[in-house]
Amino acid sequence: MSDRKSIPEIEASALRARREGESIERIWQRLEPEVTSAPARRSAALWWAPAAALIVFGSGVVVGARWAQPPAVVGSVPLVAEPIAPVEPEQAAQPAAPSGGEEPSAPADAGVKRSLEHAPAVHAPRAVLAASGSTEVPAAPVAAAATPEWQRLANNGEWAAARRALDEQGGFDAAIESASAEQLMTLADIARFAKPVQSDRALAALRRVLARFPGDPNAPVAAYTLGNMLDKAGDRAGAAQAFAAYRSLSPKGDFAEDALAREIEVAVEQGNLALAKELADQYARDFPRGRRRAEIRAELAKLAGDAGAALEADGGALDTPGVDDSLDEAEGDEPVPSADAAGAPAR
Amino acid sequence: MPAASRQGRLRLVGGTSSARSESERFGARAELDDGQLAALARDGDSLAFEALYRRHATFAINLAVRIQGNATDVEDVVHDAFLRAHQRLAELRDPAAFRSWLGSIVVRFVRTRLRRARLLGSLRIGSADPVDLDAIASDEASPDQRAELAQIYALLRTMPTDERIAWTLRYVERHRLEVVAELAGCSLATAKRRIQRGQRFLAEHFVSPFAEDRK
Repeated sequence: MSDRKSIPEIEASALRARREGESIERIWQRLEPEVTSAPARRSAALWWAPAAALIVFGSGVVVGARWAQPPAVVGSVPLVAEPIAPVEPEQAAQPAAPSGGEEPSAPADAGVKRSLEHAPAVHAPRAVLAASGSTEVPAAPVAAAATPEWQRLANNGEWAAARRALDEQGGFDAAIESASAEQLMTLADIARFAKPVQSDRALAALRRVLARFPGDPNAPVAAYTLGNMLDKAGDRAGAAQAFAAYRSLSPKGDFAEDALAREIEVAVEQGNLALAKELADQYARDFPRGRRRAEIRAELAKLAGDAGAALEADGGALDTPGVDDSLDEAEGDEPVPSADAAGAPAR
Repeated sequence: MPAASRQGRLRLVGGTSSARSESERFGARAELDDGQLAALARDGDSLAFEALYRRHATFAINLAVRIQGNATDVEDVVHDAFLRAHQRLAELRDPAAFRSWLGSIVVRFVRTRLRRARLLGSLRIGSADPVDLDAIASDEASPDQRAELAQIYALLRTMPTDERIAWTLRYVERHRLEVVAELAGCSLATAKRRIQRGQRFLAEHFVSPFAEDRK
């Protein structure tokens, strides 16, 4: 995104790092009686309250939707077996989103939630999904009647209702056959966000985007999401391939830096020092001020050290010249994380 | 473990007590990580929750201030966020992710405040809190940096709340995209769209007051 250059980078040193002991003490003085009088365990007894409210609300929405718009004729397309990768549900590794907020959220890590923005910006056209700075395709006007019910529901974030509608309208396997890239992304979202999670179907939809619509603006996001899902499922090699696919589809996309860093992580985990170093060199070239340089350098150093120790044990020696050189060159430009964000949540 | 190390582990912030007395106060809890403390707090250990509070209060305060652009009612936001976290600890599936989970709660409370202020402003009942540059900029910030921060935050105030939050998390707090999505409670693609819109808006409207000097 070239226009980013016109906005100055906000240096961490320019930001106030507040360490206000008095403020912290004041808050605690208010907080302490409340948390000691209401143990957390007790509050868990009301876990069903938001769920019940959600169910009641969801039921109303579904009834309303049925009332306003009769469901489409159920198709008779037979289910077709699809190649299914053995994938664990990816949600196990995720922290629970706070449910007390004003809007429910889908899993945050990789979703391609095509929800309607509740506050659409008036100053910008619809953003390109992934290939920032490359291709920008305005949203094609789609007649409301042409939008399947499951897609409409998914666009509203009603994942469970969307899955039911999808099942009533022929099912996932039928839909995936004729779906556009946008619809495939929506199908992947439904598979991931509606309970129970159907990771295999989400993966199938994302792979189909890449196979059939590699030039579509959705393809890079599909690749990145695929990489995240495979990573969480433990398929690190598959994830690395997906991240590489992302970079090839959108070399200057906003996820390119993270995708490359994830490839490096995989190479390090696989003990492939040569590949890790090659990718790290590329990272240093493409992102000389990248946020993850220090992290990558540490990983490479550790890998080089481990490899060296192994060779020394065998009586050999490891020559790993320049493992860190390229990453060290731009050390002076290292964007220092804000002091209090240093322990910020990691992936 | 010496008291100094314990203090480092606990990352106590501010407070009136010495490191030694804090270590004595929290005892073995000072050695525990977030996941262990959160599990204890979930079982009713109020000292464990206090340890979590003192470990992450600074993070929560800074997060709220930088998104809001001022320190107005930040104590209320942080108080409410920790209280909500305490009430919902049982729902935290991965206790080790307490910090990011707490951050997402803080963001939600700040977003609610910002939206309410915007709504009241549109009804001419009230007005949004002004940007407080002293709350954002450090003492070490140069005049150039202060001027740039002032302009950026002034522009951020005019942006839709969600875009403002996403952009701030990305380019002020410098979080990774995944973390931005997690903190903002949205999908990765949505976070990216919001950041892009914010970036585009700022790029269109930002005018460097020192453009000539930079050339």
